Amino acid sequence: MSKKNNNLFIQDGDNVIELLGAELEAFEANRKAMIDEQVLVETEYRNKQEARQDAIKKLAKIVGLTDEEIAAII
Amino acid sequence: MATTTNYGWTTPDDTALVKDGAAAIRSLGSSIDTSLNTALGTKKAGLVLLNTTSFTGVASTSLTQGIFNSSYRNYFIRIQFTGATASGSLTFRFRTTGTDNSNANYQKQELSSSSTTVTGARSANQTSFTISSLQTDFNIADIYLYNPQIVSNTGFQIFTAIVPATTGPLTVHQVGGFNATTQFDAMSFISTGANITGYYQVYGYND
Repeated sequence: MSKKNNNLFIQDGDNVIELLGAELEAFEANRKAMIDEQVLVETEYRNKQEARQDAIKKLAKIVGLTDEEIAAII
Repeated sequence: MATTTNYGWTTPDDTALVKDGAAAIRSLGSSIDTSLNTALGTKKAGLVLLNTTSFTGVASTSLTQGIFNSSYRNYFIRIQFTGATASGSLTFRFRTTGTDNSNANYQKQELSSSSTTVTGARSANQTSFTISSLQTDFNIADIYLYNPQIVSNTGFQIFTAIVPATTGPLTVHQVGGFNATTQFDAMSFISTGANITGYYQVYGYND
């Protein structure tokens, strides 16, 4: 199957279809919405991870762990 | 008396008499019936291969319309996929009569491991389900799918192995569902980045 660079193809069952015009624009817009959604989820996840690590660091300092000991558990 | 190679079913010799033909057929039929029932453990196969499809350098690939139907309640899909570059993720959406469902009803809980680091994550009310990031090495995912064609919530669990040669393998176990009673007849695998190449097999579970 030969394909030109930068063209988008989708497969429906065994049929391969090149996306053109409005279909291509709709697919790209849809995909951008999915990416934006993923970024939001990943940002929320990363923020929670950072908050958890900060909390562990604070607790670890209180109980007197060294920086090396803290680094080993987070 | 001649017998077949694998199961030893008795078949008539070339010199057998025509008058004994009915009894020979009856005996052979009975032997086949017994052997099949023994091999399958029931009257039909438990897991039935419905479709195998390859895809090469595409942005998305959709299962054949109607592959989820009233013949089977639950399905198993094994997919192997590779990204043209390590860009974006492989996601999926369920599908009805040729249209992907992008309603914000996809729920996910996942447990992943990378070396000694184990992490959990949850996302709710998404418009698609992300299986994994794309790698130029192959990834594999086993998808257990429950009730896609039933008027009921659709559930699934996915075991994914991400196999990047540079960082070492990762494992992900995801469970989730589509939180509405929509009936689906197929699903689409959609890349959010690089084009994808691979193949999938779809099986139906007999009740």
